[in-house]
Amino acid sequence: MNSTTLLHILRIVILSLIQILVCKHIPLQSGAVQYMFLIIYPVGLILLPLQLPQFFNLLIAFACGAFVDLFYQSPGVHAGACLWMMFCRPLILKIFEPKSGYSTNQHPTGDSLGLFWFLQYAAVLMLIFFIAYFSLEIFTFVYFGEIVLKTILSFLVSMFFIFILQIVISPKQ
Amino acid sequence: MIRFLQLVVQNGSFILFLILQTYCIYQVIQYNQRQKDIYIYSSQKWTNSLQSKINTVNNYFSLRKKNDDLAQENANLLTQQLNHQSLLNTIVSIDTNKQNKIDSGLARYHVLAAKVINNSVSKVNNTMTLDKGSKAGVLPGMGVVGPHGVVGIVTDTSEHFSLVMSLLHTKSKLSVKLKRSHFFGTLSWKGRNPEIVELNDIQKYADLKLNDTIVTSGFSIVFPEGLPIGTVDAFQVEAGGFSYSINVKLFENLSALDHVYLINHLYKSEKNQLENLSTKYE
Repeated sequence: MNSTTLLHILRIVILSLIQILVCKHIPLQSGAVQYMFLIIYPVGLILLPLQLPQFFNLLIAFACGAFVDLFYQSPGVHAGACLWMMFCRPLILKIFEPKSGYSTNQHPTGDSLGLFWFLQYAAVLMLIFFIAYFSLEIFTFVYFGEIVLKTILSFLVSMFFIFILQIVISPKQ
Repeated sequence: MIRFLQLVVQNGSFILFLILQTYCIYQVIQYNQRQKDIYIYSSQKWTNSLQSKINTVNNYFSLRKKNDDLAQENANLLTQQLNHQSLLNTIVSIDTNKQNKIDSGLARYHVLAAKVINNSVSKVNNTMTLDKGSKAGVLPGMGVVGPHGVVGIVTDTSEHFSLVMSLLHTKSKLSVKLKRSHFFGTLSWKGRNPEIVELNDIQKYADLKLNDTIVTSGFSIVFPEGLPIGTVDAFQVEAGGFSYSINVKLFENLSALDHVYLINHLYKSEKNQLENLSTKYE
């Protein structure tokens, strides 16, 4: 286990802690039903290095989701959504692959591949995450409208924070 | 096996995804009451419709057994009913004749259920075969009734089958009475219409109307008193005769019999013994 891997794992842990200690308690509720949820910890998974085998990616995603689940009292919901997102990541990476392909020293960050590239890439994965998350939470497609509404609102607010985070922290790796 | 291992190695991440995702969904269902309810509700919706279809098919296989069970149950109920009737009669006779005591064996009738396996109505002397014989307790002389009325009398039994002389037999003679006015006569068949039997020996001063119900008289111990037989369809007095000749329309359609009940009087031999004494005084 080299220092880069440790850095990624540390980042995921810190983001998860921010999620459960801060974001979870931010009230974004105006009516009786909360439609807006600020969820930023998947960024840690999105930023995982390109070279890591998918097998480990999935294990990390599951562990991360399960950890957050412990504090959300919703066993399986976050872990399942993280797994879906991570499962789709190679496909999304392939779609957004630059013409010259990924080089070994590139990372899926705004600093390495351009801010616009990163926002596109992160937006698609976050969208997948939210759809999976709210579908698993409600667990029936009867409330399809509710799923869509929650997904869009949460996606917008979360993406806004992810954008700020990306500019402020600007991770190199 | 090697191919399978190769497959696992190649698609390791996908299989891992499936396993972990399945585990997540299991957790979601297992621990969250809401999702659990939805899961149970929707899975039951599917399984219930399938289950009801399976049950519909399965029911056909058990229909025969159910029919037999119901016939047995009917036989038991009929036994009870007949015994209650005889009990009521006993009580009435005690009221009128106080010094009599109720004898311990109040149960006088026993009923068996059987199935008709061979039947005819088109011959002059019609018989039918039942699927129960001496092994099941069928004895010659037992009365046979269908769901709607009297059918005939057991004449012979083998180990597993019994032969019934149907009402539609020229030798069949049955003691019957009018339910309303209690005049009694003899029922017989002349061998023509299987729906109509003839009732003779009712005196022409008897109170008789069309559609009067004919029931068993209870004189012959084969049938208990009051079992339905048919209704008066037509009647006339032969020129110079003293009694009516009555056509009786049978309640029971003898050409479409399936389940029948065999009625056994428990003290039949005792009564016969007693009545045989009457020849001494002739």
